[in-house]
Amino acid sequence: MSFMFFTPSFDLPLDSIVLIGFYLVAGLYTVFTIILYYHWQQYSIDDKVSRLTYIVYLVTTLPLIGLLGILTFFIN
Amino acid sequence: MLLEKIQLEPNEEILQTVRKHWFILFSELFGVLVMLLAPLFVMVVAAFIPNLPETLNIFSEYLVLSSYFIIVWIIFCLLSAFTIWTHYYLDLWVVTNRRLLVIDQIHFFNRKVSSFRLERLQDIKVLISGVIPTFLNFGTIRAQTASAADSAFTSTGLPDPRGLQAIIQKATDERLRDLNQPASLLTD
Repeated sequence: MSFMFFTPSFDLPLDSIVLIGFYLVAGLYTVFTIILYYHWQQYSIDDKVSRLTYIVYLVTTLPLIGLLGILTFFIN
Repeated sequence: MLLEKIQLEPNEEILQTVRKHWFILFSELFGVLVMLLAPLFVMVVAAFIPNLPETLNIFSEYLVLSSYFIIVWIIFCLLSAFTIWTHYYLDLWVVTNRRLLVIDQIHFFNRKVSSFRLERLQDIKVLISGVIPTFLNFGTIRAQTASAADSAFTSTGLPDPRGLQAIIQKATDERLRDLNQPASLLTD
């Protein structure tokens, strides 16, 4: 009796990897943003610092997410 | 807001709120900055190595793809930086004329809030160890209470620990004096 062992192989095209990567990063970013907002809303003792943190966070990270989306579109 | 949630007693006043020294924040953010610049460093090093023309070709041929991965890297570095800033800002010592509140933001969703009354304070120790802490005047404070369980509150990297120790000590002395006074004198 002989057994045959198969190693399943499949090709995942690069553009799919890039797209999945973008969805993952965007998802993680959204979750992180909610967690960050929650913590600052709940535990901060200074409204001004909280507001400044939100602004700096969105100004620095949101354009990068947008740029990542554009690059994903170009690669696909 | 946090201070609205901390129910202060009648006549209780906040004497000082203390966060970790700026150098602690700076050193952690510097680590993130080094990580942020790592892809640039790799590209510069690859450009100066004569026997690696393939590496350069990879960067130029797959410009969009390498930009994609660099942006992902930058996003993760920025998220790390905001995590550090959040932990720095939400870590807090609040000294009132009645109590000491130690808020330790360990991670997201991992927060330790300890409080003890100044009259229960038994000992307060300051440790400034190392060249940078000595020059920049920051160190560790350890407050020991008369409680049986988890009776020590330790926090590292606090600015001007001797000054903070003096404030706590003075507030404790005043509190003990108030408690030892007869009730008739307190009402006058």
